[in-house]
This record gives sequence, structure tokens and C-alpha cells, in this order.
Amino acid sequence: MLEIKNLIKSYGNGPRAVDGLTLTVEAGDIYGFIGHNGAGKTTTLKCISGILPFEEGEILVDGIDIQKDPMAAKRIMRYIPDNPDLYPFLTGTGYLNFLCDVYGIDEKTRRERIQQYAEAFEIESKLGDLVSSYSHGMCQKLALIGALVQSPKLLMLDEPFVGLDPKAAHTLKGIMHALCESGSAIFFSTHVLEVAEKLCNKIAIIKNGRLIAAGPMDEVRGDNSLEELFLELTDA
Amino acid sequence: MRMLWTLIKLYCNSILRFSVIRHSKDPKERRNAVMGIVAIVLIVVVYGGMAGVMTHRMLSLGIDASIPFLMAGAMASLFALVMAFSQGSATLSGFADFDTLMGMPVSTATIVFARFAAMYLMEALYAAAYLLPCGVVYAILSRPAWWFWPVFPLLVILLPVVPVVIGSGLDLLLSAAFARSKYRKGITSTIKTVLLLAFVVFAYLLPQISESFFTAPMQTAETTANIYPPIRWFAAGASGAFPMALLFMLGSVAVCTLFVLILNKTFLPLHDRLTAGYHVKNYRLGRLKRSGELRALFRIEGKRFLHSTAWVINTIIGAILIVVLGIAGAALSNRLVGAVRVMSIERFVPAIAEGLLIFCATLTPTTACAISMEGKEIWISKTLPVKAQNWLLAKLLVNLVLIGPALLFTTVMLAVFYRAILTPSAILAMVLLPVSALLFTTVFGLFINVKLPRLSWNSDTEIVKQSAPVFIMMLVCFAEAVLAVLPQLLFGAHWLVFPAAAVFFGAAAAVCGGLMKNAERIRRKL
Repeated sequence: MLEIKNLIKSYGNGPRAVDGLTLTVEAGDIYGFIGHNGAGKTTTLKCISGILPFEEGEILVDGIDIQKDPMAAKRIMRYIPDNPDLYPFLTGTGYLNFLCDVYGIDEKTRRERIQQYAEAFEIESKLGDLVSSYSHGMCQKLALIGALVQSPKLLMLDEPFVGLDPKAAHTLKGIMHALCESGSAIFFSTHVLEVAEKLCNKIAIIKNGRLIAAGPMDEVRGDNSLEELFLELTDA
Repeated sequence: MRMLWTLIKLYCNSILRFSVIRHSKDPKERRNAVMGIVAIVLIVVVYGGMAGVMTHRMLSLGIDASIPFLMAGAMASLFALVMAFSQGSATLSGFADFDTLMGMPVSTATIVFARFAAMYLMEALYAAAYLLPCGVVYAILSRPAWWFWPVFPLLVILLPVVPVVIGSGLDLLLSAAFARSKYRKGITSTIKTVLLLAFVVFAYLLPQISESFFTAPMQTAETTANIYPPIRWFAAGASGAFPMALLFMLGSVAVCTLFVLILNKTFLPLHDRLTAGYHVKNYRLGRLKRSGELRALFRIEGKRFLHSTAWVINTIIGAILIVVLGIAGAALSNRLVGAVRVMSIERFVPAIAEGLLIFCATLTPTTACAISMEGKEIWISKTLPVKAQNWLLAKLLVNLVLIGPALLFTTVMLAVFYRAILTPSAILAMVLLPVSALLFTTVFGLFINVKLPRLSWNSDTEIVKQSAPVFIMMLVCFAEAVLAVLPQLLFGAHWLVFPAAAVFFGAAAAVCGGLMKNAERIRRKL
């Protein structure tokens, strides 16, 4: 579903934020992406989603090159940043309807999906309010609903559990499992190692822009806990 | 006092971006910040130069020294009043640091005064741009008393205080009154627009209809002085009457102190009211109407525009002026046609009309800040599978939809009511030239914003009123109006309008073609 080959990205004349990263996410994977602050997680996610250009390497989303055909790639994937700034001048419904217009979702389907996910995240009564009045957690929920209503083949999330209440976090985990069972893939960054350990079937660890470990959770972790492994690898 | 100074420096830094110029490692970001300063300096030089030349001419003709000060002071005060009225509430309640500051041992008065000062200092800069050249010319020609040198700069600095207090006070009251409404942005924008329109028409336009074209600036100054008497104290003080200067300075300081004291007592509940969100009770999902990509993008762009009162006020003024021009032109057609015939200046009428229409139509295109206004939400446009061409086109359309109908209305009105003195080719030119200039300005505004985008800001005012592309487009607008009609007036050859329109159309097509061709790259690079 997602192939990253030798990705290299620098900001201006600075050091490489991502340095030769190669990674494969397959359909059905819940792939965790961990690393210390400034390791290059968000930069990688932004390169995949087409937000940032990159100098070298190749990113294929379901076989489509993000640089050669960004439109086709964006049609099948969704990205949610760690702090989703949404249009403050729209209501929740207005924002979701706009996304459905862009993805060409028919009226019946958009209604069903919006209702389904709004109920799951318990914000159906808030959808008529302006986004400017939403809390961080509510923006996070709305951004998640906006991504889920399109049933993306690849969902990329940057720190998705930050700001969510425990019930919403639990709901999200369930939705992530259901999405992957239906053949989609999820690639997400997190600092919460316990969540990554329980939720992901694969994990990648990045340090100073370089991938230092990647693969199925059991293989990467071995007999250690993910926390022990992470500390061992990143302190080395 | 130290905290106040720190906050004022912080807010001015946020507006003028000195720290970006000094510390940013991104050359593009640094260049944008430098261009912002350069554009402000250019505006100051252009307006200052005009004010200086005007003062020199008037004093050379033996006109009383207080008159140029009255005119420049009236202009600066009006400008400050309109600016404060359109952005006062946004500036006083808009900075995102309120929670952080209120959690620190900083008094509310300090926060209020620092925010007020940040808004006021920009107006003081413009006032100085108008008035310091007047003062220098006056001092050279009239050799005033010694006290002029220390007092005049103080008078200039204090000139915008009262207009800014009145403008921002009215804006705060208006915003607070409609703070609980779902459509508060739309309502306040509409009320402000209507009030400004009424102010322009009833205070200035109608009383001046009987005046000649050449005495209109003087009449404007007189009207302002009648509405706002302290401007007379200012003019008298600047031209030699020390008691008047003292009265003006003390009055300004007293009004400012009173305003800050009142805000100090009321700012917390006021801020709470202004920043509270609107909540719908018992909301149920309504009809989710489907629309195409371009239409959806255009709607989003339109809503973004309407959501920013500062943006609306700043850009809609051109459309208002065009409509006012059309209505006033129609109402006065009989008298003006007669006057034109008596003076035998029929051949200059099309050029004057075209110049006015171009100036109003290109005054402040929405496109000059359309990309910057996406701000931190730019990630949405970048990650959605929307054609980058459509994304840019939606921004162009907003400006065309805003100005186009007004322009069409006025050209039709002028063509109908002035058909007696206009030839068919003059009517055609009156339509072609402003339309071509509008098209060029619309795409060129977007082009400049593509070159100088600023996506990180605290208050939309920083983008709508104080960003480099907006300043640059103000100069471009002025240059367009002059260049389009000056050859006609100088050479008396009306046919020159057609090559001028062709140049505008050609330039608009070339810039638009370039934008569309590189749309995807432009969006990715932001």
C-alpha cells in the first residue's frame, strides 16, 4: 500500500531531516512510527501526504508515485496532522460536506458515514457549531471523521491520540482495527509506546532522520518491551 | 512598565517581523519579511512626497500655513479612524497570547495598553508619513518659533490617538453586541460596511456635490474638522499657536488614558464575550447538498473572506466606491454634462472616468492576501485531491465576483447617463480599460502573494492590512490608474486606451497562464 524508497529531505541548507528512509506498509497493516522529538516522523508523514517536496527518493501509494501523480495518490489516502487546524469559519457539518464534495461522495453515503462516525465520537450535537468554538480534542475528532468518511486505502495519522478523551481513544482504536480488516492500511506516529505495542502489527523506529529498526512488532521487539528497545536503540 | 515595553516590542515584532529578518534561516521567509518593510517604506515615501509637494505649493501660493496641516491631519485622522473601526476588536481580542499572559503576573491594563499601542503605532507611522514632510517644508519656508521643533513631532505622534480610540471603541461595542449570534462576522461586516458607506456619502460626498472638483480636498478637510474639532487645534498648533498644540496633546493623552482605564475594568468580560463560540441547541444533521470541486472551493474561499471582517472592509471599499461613483454620476449627470460642455473638456471625460474606475476597481484585490489567509489550514488544501488550478481559480473568482458586478453597474450607468458627451468608442473604452485592469490586478495580486506568502500569523489584520503583497498592490493600483490614463490626458489621443487595455489583457493572460501552469508546484512549495 505504501512504499518509501530512500527518502531524503532537508530544510534549506540544514542537515537532512529524513536521511535515506526506506519502508513498506502493506494492506491490513497498522504500522507504528516512533522516534524522539525532531527525529523526522512528521517530516516523513508530510512528504508522503504531498505537503512537503523532497530531494531524493520515491514514495508510492498503492503503486502511484506521489510526485508524478499527486492527485491520484491523494484520492486514496488521508493525512491528519498532530494539531489539525481546520477552517474556523465553517461549521463541523460544513467542513465535512466540503470534504465530501472534494471526494465526490454522494448525498446518501455522506449522510450515513457522517452520522456513523459522529455518533461513534459523540460529537453529532456539535456539528452545527463553528469550528472556531471547538476544543483541541473536538477538532481532532472532526478531522478524524473527515478522513474516515472517505474510507481511505491509506490513513496516516500524526500523534492521533493526543487530545482525545479515553473513550474517543478507545473508539479510534476500534475503528483503526476495522479499517485495516477491510483492507486499508494505517501508518501513524506516536510517543505512547504502550499504545503502539498493543495496537500495531508492525513498527518502525527513526532516529535523526534514519530508520534504525523496522518490521513486524514481535521481530523488532524480540524479548524486550517496546519501551526497553526504544531506549536501547535511541540512546546508543 | 518594563512588561509593557516588552509586550509592545513583541506585538510590533509580530507585525513588522524584525526577528524573522534577523534570525530566520529560511531565505524565502526572510525575503518576505524584508519586502514587507520595503513596501511600507515605499508607501511612506510616496505619500510623504505627495504631502510635501502639496504643502510647498500651498505655502508658495500664500495660503495660510494651517491649511496644509488641516488637510494632511484630516487625511491621517480619517485613515486612522477607518482602520481602527475595521480592526480594533480583532486586534484587541485577537492575539493568541491572552491565556498565557493572564496566567502570568501581568496586569490587564498592561495587556490592553500594549495591544492598543501595537495598533496605534502603525497609524502613527502613516500619520508621520503624511505630516512630517509637511512640517519640514513649513519649517523651511516659514521659519517657525523654536518650540516647533520639539512640539511638532509630538503633535504628529499623538494625532491618531483619538481616532484610534473612537474607531476601536465603536468596533468593540459592535462586536460585543453581536458576539452571541451565529452570523456575527457577517452581521458586523455588513453593519460596518453600511456605516462606512453612509459616512462617506452623507458626510463627504453629498456636501461636496455642489463644490468644484478642485476645492473638494479642502472641503474634505473642512468637513472632517467640523465633525472632529480637535483637528483644528492640531492644525493651529502645528502652524504656530502653542496653546492649541498643548490643548491637543493634553486632550489626546486624556482620551487615551480614559479608554485604557475603561477597558481595564471591562476587558475580561468583554474578551470572554468576544471569544466565546456560538452553540446550536438540539442540532440535527440537515440536507447535505452536493456540489462540484470548483464550486466547493469557491464557497470555502467566499466563506473565508466573509469570516474576516478586516478583509471584507479592506477590500469591499473599492466596490462601494465604484457603486457610489455610478449613483453619484447618474444623479449629477445633467449638471456635470452642462459643466463639461461649458468648459469644453469633453475629450477628457472618458480618461477621468476610466482613471477613477481603475483606481477603485484595483484598490485592494482580495487575491493579494488570499494565499496567506489560508494560514495554518494550508495543510487541508495541500492534502486534498483538488486540482491546484481550481484552488487558485477559486481565489481569483472571489475578487472578480466582488468587484465585477459593481464595475459593470457603474460603466452601464455612466454610459447611459453620459451618452450625450461620449462617443461609442469612448463607451467601449470605458468598459474595456477598467475590466482589463481588474483582470490584471486580480491575477497579479495572486502572483505577488504566491511570491510573498505568509502562512504564520497571529491576527488576520497582519495579513490583510500590513503584509508586503497588500502594500505592493496599493502601489501597483496607483501606478495602473496613472499609466492607463496619463498618455490619453497628455497626448489627447483617446485611441491609446485600446493598446493600454490590450497590454492589461495580455499581461493578465500571461500571469494567469504562468500561475495555472505551475499551480501544482506553487501549492507544494508553500
